[in-house]
Amino acid sequence: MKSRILLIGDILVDLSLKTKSQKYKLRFGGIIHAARYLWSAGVEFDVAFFAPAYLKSNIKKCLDNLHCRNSIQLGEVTGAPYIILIEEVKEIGDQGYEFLLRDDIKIEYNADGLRKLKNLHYTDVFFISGNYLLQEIINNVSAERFHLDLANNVEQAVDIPLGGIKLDTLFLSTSSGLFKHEFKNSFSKFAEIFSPYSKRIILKENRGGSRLYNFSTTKCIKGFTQIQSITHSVGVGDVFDVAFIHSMNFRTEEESLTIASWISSEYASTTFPDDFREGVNRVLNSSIERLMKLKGISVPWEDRSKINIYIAAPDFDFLDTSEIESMCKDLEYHNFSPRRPIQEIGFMEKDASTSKRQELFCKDMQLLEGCSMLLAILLNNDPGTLIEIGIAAERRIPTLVYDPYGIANNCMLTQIPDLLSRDKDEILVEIFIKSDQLINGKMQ
Amino acid sequence: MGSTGTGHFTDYSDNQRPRNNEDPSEPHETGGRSGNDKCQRAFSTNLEEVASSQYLIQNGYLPPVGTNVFISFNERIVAETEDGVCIGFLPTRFNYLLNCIENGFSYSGVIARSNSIPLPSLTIDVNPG
Repeated sequence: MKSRILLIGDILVDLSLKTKSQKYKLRFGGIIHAARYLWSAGVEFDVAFFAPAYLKSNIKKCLDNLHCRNSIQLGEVTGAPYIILIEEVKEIGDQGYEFLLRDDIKIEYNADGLRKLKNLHYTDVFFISGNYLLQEIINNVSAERFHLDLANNVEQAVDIPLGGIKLDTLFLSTSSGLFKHEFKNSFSKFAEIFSPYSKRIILKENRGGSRLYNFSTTKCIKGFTQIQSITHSVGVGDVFDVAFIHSMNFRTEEESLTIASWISSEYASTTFPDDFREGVNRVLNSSIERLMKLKGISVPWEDRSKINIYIAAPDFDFLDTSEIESMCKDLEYHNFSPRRPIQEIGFMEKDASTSKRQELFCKDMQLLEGCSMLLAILLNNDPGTLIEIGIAAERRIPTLVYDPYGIANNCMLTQIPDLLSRDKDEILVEIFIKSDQLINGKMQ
Repeated sequence: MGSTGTGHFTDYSDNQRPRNNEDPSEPHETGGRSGNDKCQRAFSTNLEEVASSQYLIQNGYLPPVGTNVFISFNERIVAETEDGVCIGFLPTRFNYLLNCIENGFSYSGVIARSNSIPLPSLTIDVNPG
């Protein structure tokens, strides 16, 4: 049967800020990310949205360009320009979204829009939570299946306002407030919280894959991330969701997770719509059996804390250690366990005795022994850092070197590690790849 | 103070406006297409699992520099000799090549580096077409 999908949510302006390595990028966000997939895949869809009045003509132009069949404004946003400033597009760490004047947002609901919506019927309706009240809208929609991404705005499971409707799919990500509030180190217990609300839950785990739990079949299915060089991660989760929803019209859950993973990887690799459409069409033309066979990366959230990462660096209080602190913060954001020997074991005084030196050395080596990976951060040519790189590599511990200032020149230093890079995203991706190899027994 | 180039939305499909994405002085990205198709990109990479590859096990030595290689799919993205013998696997970040291969692209190249010490390792240079 032909699918007719309705997207409901906010339409905002995403502005990715200029950095040393990226240009400004101004485009529509919110539910437009999901709309870009439906346009790319040639799926018939409508949009019901909330936005400020000043964006009306630009939204119309954008939706016309995406071949949206009907667009219905459900509410007008006042008090804020609905612009999000994005400091860090790749979600290496916390992305630092700046939602301008968010505390002053008000929504005036449009009764005509709601009436118009009541007369339409869909195969699937997909809500992306936002600043609107879901309970004001959900009972005005007629559809065979309801899906919801609790992106933000809901911190506790008891707050999910569904007006008595049971969802087909509830999407959550490890970046959401709800996940951070409710997850207690067990996916099955976490999933169980949502059984009154939905037939299945999908947890999206950033670069670490995804997991689906179906409450009727009690089946848990693992989805794999396709890691490639990414341009951004803004809206990638929404594209994953809608690709899954659309695919479920004619594929199994496992196949749909695979498709969603490949499509979202395509979205993350470009911000150019025609490039994305070409990528989508290539994925959809490929054999699903082959895509499934290739698998990808799976590093479940709760397993990451077991990955102890030895931070080899001149972590001294007389140096600027902001690069070390920032890297450790990013690793912790993804639930890895960075271990900072100088912070944990102590700093050696200038006139330390031989026995004190031996004690510190032994403790350092014990800590390294207990780590599954070494990440060196080159702030200067600190001999301790360089020696630890050599020791880890000789012991076949995965050894990565982050060189933010581009100081590595010596051939032993450039050739010994598994990866040496100035690019933090490349380092993070490699940590996910190595973790996948460690967790899933793929080490060479 | 001058404008920084975020004056209007530009990332529409088939946008006809002239683009300056190659110009580093242009502060913003515009247009529907980047003009950079990853399936058409040449690349160079170290191979994985060379030490346990079919070629090394069969021959007891690594293929020399200059040997022709072909990329194919056999549950993973594989580098093979002309005779179809696996010399190693491409790293995970090249998984996207499956979609390219499935859509008619083919890839071949040569071994650029071949070393047995300290561990068996191969680097390949690959071109589409």
